Amino acid sequence: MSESLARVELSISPERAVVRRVRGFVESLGTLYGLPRDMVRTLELVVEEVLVNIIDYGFDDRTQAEINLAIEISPAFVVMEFNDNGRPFDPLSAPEPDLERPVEQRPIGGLGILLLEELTECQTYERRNGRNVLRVRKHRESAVTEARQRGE
Amino acid sequence: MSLEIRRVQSQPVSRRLALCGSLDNDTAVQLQDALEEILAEDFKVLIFDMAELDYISSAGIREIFLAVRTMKDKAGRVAVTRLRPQIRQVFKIVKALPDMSVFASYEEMDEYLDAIQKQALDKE
Repeated sequence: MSESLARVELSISPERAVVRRVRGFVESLGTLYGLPRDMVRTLELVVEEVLVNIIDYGFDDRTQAEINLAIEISPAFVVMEFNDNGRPFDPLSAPEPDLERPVEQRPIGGLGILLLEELTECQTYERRNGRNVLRVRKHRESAVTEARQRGE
Repeated sequence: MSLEIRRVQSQPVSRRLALCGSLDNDTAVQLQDALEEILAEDFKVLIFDMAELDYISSAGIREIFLAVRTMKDKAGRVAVTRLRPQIRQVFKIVKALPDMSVFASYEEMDEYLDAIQKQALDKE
């Protein structure tokens, strides 16, 4: 396990407008630590998809909401851990969208988590002390390899 | 992290929108408004030029899917052109590409549009 370069914790208010600011923060971290651009976009995508889900569906009463995001940057990967006190919800076990049907016949929903699962290397969920804990790891190497595969 | 939508040019059979920036949870509504206006018009191919689209999330994909649905309802199609690698990858993951015409360049797309235009004229 490599030593981490930085660990940042954010306390996020449950408003959609905040999602954009968190994305902006992730982008700044990416610049600061020289992360590949595609990797930063993926991290932004994870932030948006997970936070919008938590904010929109996690709470009956948002005034009681506590949402935290810890970001750990290591030389080889970035781990993002979302922790909230909303209703128990494991996004990783939600039914996958039916991708075999033409898009106009597909029900809306489920695409965000699918993207998260496909674009990152490791995802885990647990219910810990009455809170949802979702961990997502994105390898720095894979971003490089993907770019190579595309011939960039 | 904003979205700019430019209506590039219109031909009898097609409408072309250039998307620039970030198509996300905040900006999807801008595209929704633009599409509402444009989809009321009579044409066959709706083209999204994505050369300057830097980011798309599921909220953005949903708007594109709605456009695909509306165009199919009017016996038309959605075409996308000049996708950046990461955007292409996202469309690939959600298996959207078979439902759209994908063009790497304007030249490729113009050939296709010319063929559609000719078809339309032949019918008249």
